[in-house]
Amino acid sequence: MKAKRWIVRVLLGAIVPVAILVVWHVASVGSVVVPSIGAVLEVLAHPLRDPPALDSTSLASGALISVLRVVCGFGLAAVTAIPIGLLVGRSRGAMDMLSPTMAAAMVISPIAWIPVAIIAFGLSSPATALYGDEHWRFGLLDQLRFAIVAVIWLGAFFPIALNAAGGAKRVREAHIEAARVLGATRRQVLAKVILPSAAPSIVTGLRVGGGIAWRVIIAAEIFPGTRGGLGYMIATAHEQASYEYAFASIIVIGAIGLVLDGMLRLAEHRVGRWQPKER
Amino acid sequence: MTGEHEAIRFENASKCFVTPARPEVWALRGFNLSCLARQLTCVVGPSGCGKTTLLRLAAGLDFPTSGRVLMRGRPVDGPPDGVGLVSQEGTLLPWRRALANVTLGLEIRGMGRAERRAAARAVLQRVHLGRDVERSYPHELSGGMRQRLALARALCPNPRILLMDEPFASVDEPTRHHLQGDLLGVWAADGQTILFVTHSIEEAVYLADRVVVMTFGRTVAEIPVSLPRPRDRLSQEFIDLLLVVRRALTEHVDEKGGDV
Amino acid sequence: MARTRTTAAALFLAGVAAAVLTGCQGEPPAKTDAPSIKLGHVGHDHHLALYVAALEGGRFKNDFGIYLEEVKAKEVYDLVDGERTLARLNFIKVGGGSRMPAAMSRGEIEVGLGGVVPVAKFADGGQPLKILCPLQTDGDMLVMQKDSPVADWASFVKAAKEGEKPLTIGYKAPVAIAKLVFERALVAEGIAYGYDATDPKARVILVNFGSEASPIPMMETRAIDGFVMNQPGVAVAVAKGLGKVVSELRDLPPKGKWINHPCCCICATEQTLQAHRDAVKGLLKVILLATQLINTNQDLAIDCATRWTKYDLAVEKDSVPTITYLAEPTDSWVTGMKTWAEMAKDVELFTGKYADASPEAFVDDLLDLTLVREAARELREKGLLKAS
Repeated sequence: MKAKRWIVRVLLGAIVPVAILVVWHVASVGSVVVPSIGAVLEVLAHPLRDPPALDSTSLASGALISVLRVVCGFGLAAVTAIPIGLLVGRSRGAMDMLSPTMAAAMVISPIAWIPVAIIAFGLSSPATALYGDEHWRFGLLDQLRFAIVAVIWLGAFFPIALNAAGGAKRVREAHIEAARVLGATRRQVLAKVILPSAAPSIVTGLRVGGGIAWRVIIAAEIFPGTRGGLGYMIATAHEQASYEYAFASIIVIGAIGLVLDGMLRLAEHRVGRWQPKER
Repeated sequence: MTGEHEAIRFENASKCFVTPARPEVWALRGFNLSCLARQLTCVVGPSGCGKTTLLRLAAGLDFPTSGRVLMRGRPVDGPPDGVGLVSQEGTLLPWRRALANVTLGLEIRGMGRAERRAAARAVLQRVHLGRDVERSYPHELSGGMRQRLALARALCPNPRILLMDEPFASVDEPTRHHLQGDLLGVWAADGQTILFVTHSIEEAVYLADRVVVMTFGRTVAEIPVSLPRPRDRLSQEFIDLLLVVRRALTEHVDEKGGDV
Repeated sequence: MARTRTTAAALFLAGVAAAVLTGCQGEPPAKTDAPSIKLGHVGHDHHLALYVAALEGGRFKNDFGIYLEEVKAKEVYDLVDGERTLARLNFIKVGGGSRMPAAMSRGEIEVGLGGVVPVAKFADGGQPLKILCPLQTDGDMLVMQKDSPVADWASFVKAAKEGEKPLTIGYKAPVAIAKLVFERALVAEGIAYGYDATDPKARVILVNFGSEASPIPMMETRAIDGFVMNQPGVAVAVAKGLGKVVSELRDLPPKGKWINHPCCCICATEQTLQAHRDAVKGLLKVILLATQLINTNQDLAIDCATRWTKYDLAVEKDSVPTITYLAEPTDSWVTGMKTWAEMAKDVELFTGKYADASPEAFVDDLLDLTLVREAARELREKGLLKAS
């Protein structure tokens, strides 16, 4: 009975992917722009191979570069947004000073900031900052272009900060007072009350910000001077009409996005497990 | 002048709150009270008479508009050392399991993990909470268990003074009686000074060495209770004291025509 | 115990990440005292001279004594003349159109390979850029749908003027050479054109398919009837069966005006020219020699194009022969630059220092051909460069 239910669930879950595959196959017949499923699988089956018909690094290398860029931009966003968000949530003065700007900036798509990021950072990277003209020796470090990381930071910053602010604002004074009566210093109140209380909101913000960061990477990677990343691979594949690489990159982007979201969802669940479930 | 055995003293303490809706609300007006060490004092009064405010001043969570509050001879200028607070509202930290809630005070003082867990377990036993609740979150416990937990958390750092703000008001009567019994047991063993605020006259008479009647922000009567413990709620002496306290309370409430 | 394991795992991963990020990859290439020059390029076969020089370093070393030595494939090359390293060149794929001069104006590159018109536009805006030499001319085509009745320019004109509906033609970028030539040709034929599909007067509607994008999706979905573009984009579309070449843009009217029309060039900032004159001259020598090689050994050129750009061999076989590779400026090329100046004036492309400049003044200011002529002369004295 259990096995039968499981089979039914699997079959139900397979309907949409199978439909997509059928539509894909039909669309690919006689098309240049829509590659065949086989061609895309061929690319996915050799992730470490430098593409023979594409001026790009391998799929795996591209994925690693994109992930590292997102991790850096997202990490930077988390490290800056959480304290700022907590401050805005707990301090009236900070809220009055920062909230209007944050609210206005949040509605601007991070992609719109790309030209500004190029002007501000150009082709600089941690490798150029540390090693100057010898930057090219330091492979992946050189790929962490500041302009790309900045755009990702911008995309992830606001949802994290605003959620952190909301979580900090909702901390119950009674909890803070309970800790104070037990002798907690301000730092201890922050660490033992405010942060854990706001943690579910913060992690929700991280999840939203992480999703935006991963989506922004594609547009951000069509940058001059970039020779790697999944976004770069898609742009180059498009330019060179090697669409099987574009499709393969999209599939990899989706898969990595799922994994990243899954990890953040797990964190959300763990951090929020003390919250009573709604009936 | 504070006596050497005096644990808590309110000297003409007044507290005024200003809100947009009501410009001036005097929660305390020239409030005077002295609690001796090891004494269990109950303050009883109607809602809004300033009971919670006086505990907040004692706990250093707020400051008097005029007058002063002294704890063990020192003016209160922030949460004082050696003071525990148990509130009616759940102030247990919901993201911490039961044991972690109890160890909070010791954690703040920097005690080692194993040591503070052992101390916490000992206190939990004293309030009749078993090891099976250690890993529960507060929302998984009943109301009575949560109040025991709150009491355990306050007791764990061995405070010399306990401030209790209607801690048993939200539980049913049988549970309340058990909790009262547990409190008396702990107090008998440790001898803290307890300032217990309640709106229940019966609870005040059952627990206190002395009942302070409070209305409209000031003391209106102090009634000593010298009945031996455990007290019989059905005895004539107990009922007589209930009437005395009730009379003191209603006289002053009627005079002023209701709550502030 | 669990914590110790977690800490150990975290430290291990951090160590791996550090190693990967710093690119620990065996014996690192030798350092050099030669100046470092950042060189921007696009990555397609208009810049083939650079790629031939980069890929055939050994041959250049044996045959010419001045060559590019690979330090990191496709990224770093030492420019060596005899025993002396003149410079370490960092190849940076900056992209086409305005991206190259924009990168130069931000100081990200010092020497750039790219289209003459975007370079002129930036110079017009005040950037101290100089065009040092041409790279190639021609190599732009008009392509129509494979089944289109249009087979040549005459039938295109007829279809545009007399067809039921206006023709929709895609272009790569607003200042793309192909688009500018095509527009002038339409004007010469008296064909009204526009950018708005609802324009009732326009017989040809121009559609921007995006500067780095490809016309292929719009050709496949028939959103456009054809497009004008440089190689190898043309060859790619033809190879994929999505179009046919109906005319080279060099043949468009006014007749003869677009023959050898300038396309890509090498440019540099004045500062770079002053600071690294010898190195830049060395680079120009290598370009001159590479261009000569392309023109004398087309099979090698096509092979190098495929190896570098990763376009199919079939695509490069189609593309390379249609491009005129030219590094030593000819009178015809200079005349072509003057033609650009006139055309730019007509369309009010320049709004800065070239807005009112005569074609001669434009050429005098923008071009600095002394270095390439010097380089050519020196190569000829050694018998390495044949007479032009």
